[in-house]
Amino acid sequence: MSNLGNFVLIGLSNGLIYSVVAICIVLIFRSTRVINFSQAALAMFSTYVAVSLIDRGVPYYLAFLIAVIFGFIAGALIERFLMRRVESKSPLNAVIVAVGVLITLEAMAGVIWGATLRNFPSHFSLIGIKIGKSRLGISPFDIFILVVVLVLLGALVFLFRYTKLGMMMRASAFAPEVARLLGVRVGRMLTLGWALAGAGGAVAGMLAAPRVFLFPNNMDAVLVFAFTAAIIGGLDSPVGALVGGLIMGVSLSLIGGYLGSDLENPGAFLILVVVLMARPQGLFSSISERRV
Amino acid sequence: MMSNSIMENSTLIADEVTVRFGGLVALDRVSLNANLGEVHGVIGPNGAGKTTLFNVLCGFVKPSSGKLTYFGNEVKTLRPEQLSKMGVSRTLQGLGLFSRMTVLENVMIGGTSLTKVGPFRSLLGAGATVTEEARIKDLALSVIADLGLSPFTKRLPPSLPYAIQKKVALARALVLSPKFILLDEPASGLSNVEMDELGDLILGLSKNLGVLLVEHHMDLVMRVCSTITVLDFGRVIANGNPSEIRANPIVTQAYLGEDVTI
Repeated sequence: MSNLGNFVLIGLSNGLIYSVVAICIVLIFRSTRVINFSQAALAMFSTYVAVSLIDRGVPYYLAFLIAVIFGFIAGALIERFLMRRVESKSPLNAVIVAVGVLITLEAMAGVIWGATLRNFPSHFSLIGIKIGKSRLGISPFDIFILVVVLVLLGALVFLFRYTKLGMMMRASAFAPEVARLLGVRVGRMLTLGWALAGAGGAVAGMLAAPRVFLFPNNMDAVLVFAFTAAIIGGLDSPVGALVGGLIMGVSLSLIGGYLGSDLENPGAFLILVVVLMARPQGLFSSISERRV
Repeated sequence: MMSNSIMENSTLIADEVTVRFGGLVALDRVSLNANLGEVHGVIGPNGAGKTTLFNVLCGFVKPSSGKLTYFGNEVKTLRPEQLSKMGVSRTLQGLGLFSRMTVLENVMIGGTSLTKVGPFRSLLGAGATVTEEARIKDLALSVIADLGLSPFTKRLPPSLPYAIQKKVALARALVLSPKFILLDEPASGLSNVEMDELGDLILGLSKNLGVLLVEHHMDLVMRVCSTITVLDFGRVIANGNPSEIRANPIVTQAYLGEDVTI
């Protein structure tokens, strides 16, 4: 198969992971207007929890599930006990607290598990699938990523589109005061939003770890890519975040493949700058008057 | 003559409520006594404190002093979502509809206080959630049908005529079967025919619940209200039935320079 095809496939696979993190960023931004910079650290921390369980002989899928539950609870606790205190203040306060959480979690991971690179055992082969004589750019693990992300997205769409709980969360995000008037306990909806983002982060962390190795700030680059993806998608559109993640994945894969992997990070920033200059409201935002 | 406790149980009482925003006194010892089964109007020139009074009554604004008693319970410290649970509903000046949710979804949100299953349990898909949702959906659909909104169930509010959107906002406030409903300028933006229809609707509602009405259209106020409280500069300047209010020179004086005929 041609290089181009393989680069695109690898890019799509990575892009799915960026999409998950981007969707989590959007989930929180929509309801609180805060960019959750601690998203990456929460993902990394949950992944460490999983790997220490796997080291102790816990089966992969169970460890995966526990990591997701850990992310869910950690997200809820961060909202309830930290973010809630700065909720009524300027958004800058919340951003600073989120960055504080990021640094704290990364430092704690270093203290608990050691600040060294470690290999994350992949449950699936990372070697490309062979069709005839040529090897594809996607491995069984990529298929696993695709399935997990699709299940996650399906669950989120179901929650927000078809359940009363999802309606209440959307109402709280759209007009918290009106929602409160109608009896919605907006505070709980925010906690739930952070919990879901924490769980989503854990999924992203588990999916990213076999490729990027595991160390306390292994998800930082993913955060930058996902943040760019969320901006491309307009910051308040989950579909936009999904597409933004895929665009980022493919673009970075092409940049890395043809120009050298050193250029991936500068490439991400270049894309961010171009999007902000050409279409600051993002490609999918319904809020046309927003300016960054 | 009703005994005192029964009267208290069927009323919403504001007693000497004062609200200060910094140095500004928005409400100055305002008292008001609204009963089930009647329409109580709150009128006054712009900036008189009508909306602030509503904000106090529904829990958005905590009074600096004074007492609020609903159905015999003191409620000054309750939040809007708790008052909603007690049976106090409110529509907003303007619409306050969720523009990206369908009419049905908007009305269903109004039934939130009826949910007993908490969000975290609900996330696990507990069976109770499913039955509960079905129940709230049925309730919402029946209120929608009562108000003649059935053809618009799946539409998004911005795509509907303004008068219909107003009815959706009303349906959303009614789905809980509240004991009291606070209507903030329900007639703004309506035509004369639509306003007559609204008047009939309000009179119909008041058979089963208490209605508090803030409104600028005096024809409507005089037609539907049994009691009217007049505010000016945050103070109650008059209180009485429509003919008393109409004949009160202080009220006419307060409205001088405003384009309103009482």
